Amino acid sequence: MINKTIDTDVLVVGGGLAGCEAAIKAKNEHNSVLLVDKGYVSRSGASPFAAGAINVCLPEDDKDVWLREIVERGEYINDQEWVKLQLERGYPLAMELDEWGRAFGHTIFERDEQGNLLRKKARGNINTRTCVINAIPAMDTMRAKVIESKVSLLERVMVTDLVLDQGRVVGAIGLGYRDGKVYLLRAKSVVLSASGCGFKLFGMGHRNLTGEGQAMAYEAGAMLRNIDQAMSNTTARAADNHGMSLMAAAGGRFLNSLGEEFMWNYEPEIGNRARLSKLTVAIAREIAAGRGPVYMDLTATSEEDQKLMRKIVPEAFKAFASLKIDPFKEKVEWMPAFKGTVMHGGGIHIDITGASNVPGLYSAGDCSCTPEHGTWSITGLNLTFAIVSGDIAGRSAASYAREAATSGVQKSDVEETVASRLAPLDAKVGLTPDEVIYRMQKVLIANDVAYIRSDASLRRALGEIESIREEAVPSVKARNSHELVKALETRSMIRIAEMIVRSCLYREESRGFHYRTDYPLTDNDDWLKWIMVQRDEQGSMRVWAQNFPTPYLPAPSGKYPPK
Amino acid sequence: MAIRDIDRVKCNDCGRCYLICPMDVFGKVGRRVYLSNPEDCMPCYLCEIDCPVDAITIDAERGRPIPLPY
Repeated sequence: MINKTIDTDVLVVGGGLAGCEAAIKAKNEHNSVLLVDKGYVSRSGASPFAAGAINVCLPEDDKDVWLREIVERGEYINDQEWVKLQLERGYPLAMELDEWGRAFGHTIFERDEQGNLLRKKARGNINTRTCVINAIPAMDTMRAKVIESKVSLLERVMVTDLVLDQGRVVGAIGLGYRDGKVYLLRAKSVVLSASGCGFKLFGMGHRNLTGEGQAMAYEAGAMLRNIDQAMSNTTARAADNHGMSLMAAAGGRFLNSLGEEFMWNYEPEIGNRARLSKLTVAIAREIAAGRGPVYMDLTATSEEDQKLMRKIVPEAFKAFASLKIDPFKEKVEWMPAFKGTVMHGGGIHIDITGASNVPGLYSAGDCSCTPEHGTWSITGLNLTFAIVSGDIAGRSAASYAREAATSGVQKSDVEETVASRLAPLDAKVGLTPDEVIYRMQKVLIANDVAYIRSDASLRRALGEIESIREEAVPSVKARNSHELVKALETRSMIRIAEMIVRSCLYREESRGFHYRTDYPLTDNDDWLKWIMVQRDEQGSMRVWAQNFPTPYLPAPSGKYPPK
Repeated sequence: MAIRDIDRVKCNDCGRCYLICPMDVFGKVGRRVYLSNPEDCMPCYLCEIDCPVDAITIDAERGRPIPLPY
């Protein structure tokens, strides 16, 4: 049943910015490193679509001011130690990436005529600023660097499960997307950097991100955190689009059907440049109040900014062109775009070494709980976090691997798991993966589940999710390896869907992306806590709230409308 | 449908689209690329951007219907 066994010191799952960084840094520490990706490294995951915004605190910036802004605007549920680490390590690592780019002939960071890094005030920024990054050249650089570093690559392979030996992670099982080959990947430590779960919903380029990393960590006993902050971006209603941080930085405006720039009512200090968490909830509330549809208006942006936008997010402008819309001449109907745990929205709980609670298991990038962000703080933090957490988790996993004994796990130990993963191929009749995916999407995308929530709407969603989990997912059939990947994606997706709904039910207040009509206030007295998720010994999903340290900025008290 | 066809006159069989597509939309027989799972096209435009001979034009229409929030 197992076609191939590969041994490595460090296994990295997911080859976006975080995974490449982790693989390169683990390899620097004299380990054998295997990087596995469901697609082709440099054109897979969220990183090639990073849409231009990266938060880099330069040496001349006041780190205390930046830390305060990130934590205040993350509504205080950030891990402040990670915020500090990111502010210290982001600049040198960003400049290292820039240097690698130059060596391979790519321009990664945009600069002004004097050669200074181009910096803008984009979404959420008050005193902080955002650098502008070219995502595809950055990922071309990462691929070249991974190869130059002699990291082994295994592409078009979906990792489905972690392999444990006496409570320690000792490898993973992989499935060939195109050839159906099954791999046993034996490793001394594993870094999960396969992003979160976007449920194949909106957002450009995210539809192969279906939460395997987070789901397999959960199955292995890892704690996950802040899944109640499952996120949304926004998009054109007619087609997927992105680049909103740049658009907002350039003076893009959000209008309701009365022509009002409504965001000033929701985030008075910065209006149209509001944080994503505020913007998505606000659009949903405008619609609920009968002031829809809502539009994005770029008609007042400068020619220079228009040129920059076209350069940094070419995909977005191909979408506009295909719709025969010139966004610089007419306003475009816009809507919130639910993204689950992709790009933020919670994930694997990690400490400041990138380690999870399961020995041998590390996480980096959006697959982790993105601890720097809090609710959703300011734009561009995720990309910086990708390189900072990749660097840290890669080096931590390497140092763990140096001390760890080789596991004696054999093919026979995983055969049962493999058989159950291949089972959809044997089903004569069954549901198509697409049917199940659509049902799941319908539950999660509903306005009263994704945005304007209540106990009743979340309980209804939970019932529907449980029924899909129990009845539909086990009945999925697959005709070939391509469909088998999709069938297995439904397994991961339903797991993450349940985590989201249960976490949102648990948090009885409103904060960040989480807005509840039955608990409309932010409640620091009872809910300044992390919502945690873990599989209990009976296999049920356990959810609880956990206090956390606030070493640099004291936590606020009291209740108030979300801010 | 987001991807409808490949311009056979322009296509030089370089295989770049097959190599990079995140959704495994393309198949290959010998050197010839074909659309094996076009309904899975997101679309993300990476094949159109990377195609050296402009043989692919992507339509912004979503490959599969997705429920809308409202």
